[in-house]
Amino acid sequence: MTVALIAFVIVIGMVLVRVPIGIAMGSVGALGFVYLRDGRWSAGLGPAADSILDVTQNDALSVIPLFILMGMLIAQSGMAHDLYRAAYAAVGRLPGGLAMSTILACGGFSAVSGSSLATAATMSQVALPSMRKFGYHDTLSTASVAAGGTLGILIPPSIILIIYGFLTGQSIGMLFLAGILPGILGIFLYLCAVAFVVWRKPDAGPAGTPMDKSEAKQSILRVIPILILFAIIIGGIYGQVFTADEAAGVGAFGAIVISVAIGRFSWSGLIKALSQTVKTSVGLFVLLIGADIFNRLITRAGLPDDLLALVQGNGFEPFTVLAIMILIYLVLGAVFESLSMITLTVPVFAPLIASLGFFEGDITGEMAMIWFGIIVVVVTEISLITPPIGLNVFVLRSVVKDVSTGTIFRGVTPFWVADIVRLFILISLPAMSLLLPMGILSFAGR
Amino acid sequence: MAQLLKWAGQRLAQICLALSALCLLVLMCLTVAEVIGRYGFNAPIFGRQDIAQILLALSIFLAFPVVTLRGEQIDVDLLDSWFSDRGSYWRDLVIALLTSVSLITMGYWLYLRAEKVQSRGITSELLFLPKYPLIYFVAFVVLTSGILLAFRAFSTLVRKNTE
Repeated sequence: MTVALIAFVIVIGMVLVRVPIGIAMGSVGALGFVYLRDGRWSAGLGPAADSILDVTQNDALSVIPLFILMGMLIAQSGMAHDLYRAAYAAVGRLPGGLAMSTILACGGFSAVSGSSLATAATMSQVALPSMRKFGYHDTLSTASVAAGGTLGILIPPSIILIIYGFLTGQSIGMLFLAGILPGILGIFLYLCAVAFVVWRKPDAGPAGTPMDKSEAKQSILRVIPILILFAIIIGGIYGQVFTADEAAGVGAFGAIVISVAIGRFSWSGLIKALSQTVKTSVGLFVLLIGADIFNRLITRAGLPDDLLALVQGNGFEPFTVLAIMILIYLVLGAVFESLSMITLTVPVFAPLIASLGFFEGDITGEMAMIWFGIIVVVVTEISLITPPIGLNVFVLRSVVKDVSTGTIFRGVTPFWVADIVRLFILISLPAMSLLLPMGILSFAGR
Repeated sequence: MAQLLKWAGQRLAQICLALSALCLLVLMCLTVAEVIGRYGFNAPIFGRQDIAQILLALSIFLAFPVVTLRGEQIDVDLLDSWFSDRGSYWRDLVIALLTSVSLITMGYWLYLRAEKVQSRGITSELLFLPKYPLIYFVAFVVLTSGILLAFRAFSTLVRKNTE
């Protein structure tokens, strides 16, 4: 356990001085292994070389570049504007309607783009000007973009859930299904947060001008192809028509077909999307390789077993352990960005969750791991808007230079509270996450 | 000379990214063709997994040197403001050297793996394609990236000292 803890401290130190996290985890993992095997280089570096080959030749992981490609293609087709117009057509005339439209559009856009930071940056250009035109308070307008951007990391297809699946050996398709209802709950609670703000201060978010019927119909029709693509992906996984990586391939291809069909395809756009995708994917694969090498070290060093013994020795209840983990995530989330935090912590926490036996009856250990994955992602979402380092708030601050960080954080508070409420619901009602995955298992007769 | 090297480096980076993107595009088409073949014609593509594995690895490692040399790996810039210009310079140099040593070491071990796989005649599961050429390629890319990174770090150091 001592070796693993020292390795952790070294990795965190390296990451804080800006060593790429994959390189930090990989090099410390390999050297730690050499140390554990009495200085035999082949015992440490051989498995590290195997990790490099295993991860990059794992065809199930083609889900990562293919979903990123889909997101890039959809983002380039100007879909952010379309989603916002469609959401406005639906709820824009209500009090706080523009902020509600922002939440809905952010949910849709970040689900396909896979990046909450990109969503916050893009949607601030799309939604903020009209909210300002209608005299929305800066607290509500900026906070709805910052908070809305966090929604997509849970709504499938989600890169963070894919990485969680890789680190814990869980099915990516099951994790996607588990993310749907909590994602919808997140959108609903954010809408409630907007309604609460305008109920307290009606002038913070006045109602927008209603769209005329034909324009509203046009706006909604424009997003139908994307909704169909989303339905094909999720329906395909749920109906076991295809695996997650096949869904990603179909999704990317579908995004090209849609951009051709709506007249927004360009070769230069495709080349740009492909080039961005491969660069982003390399970063993620290096992270996964580093995490794989580091995992081998901490498992070999016995950290998960020692932690379990510690927890059981002290008679901690499983939910007490979970509460401690959530606190650790909230603290770490103030320092690390989401991917780094998850790759560092999940390999240590997940075995503990698997061994503790959270549920009795129908919920198996496998399902408990999927439930934990959703909890981890929701906590990560919360950390993106938690002071003092909530990254989404800072992205927004860099785009909207005339609003202070303090104003955005103040505005984010109701959304943060909504997130905490969702966390409590998900912890106390595992069925919210597990209904769809368990449905598919019973459907398949398992 | 330096200009020429820079020009050649940029062209090479563009070619690598283009080839990597092409592999990804083929991987996408192959995946779609598999789904259509399976449900439309009841004829899945034999050996798709083997080809997908090769395409994925090629796509990642063709772009790997570009991402590594441009410093676009995922990192945490939280404490950046704590470093002075001089401090950032030395920090970046140390990180480049650490990364290059890691890559050169791993490149060498990958080369050893490739030799072993070649001597044992290990092939892919369905199409029986020999696995060693891809591993030699990966070893070459990782090793070359490490050497280029070290070369660039030293040339920056020399340039700074002569200024």
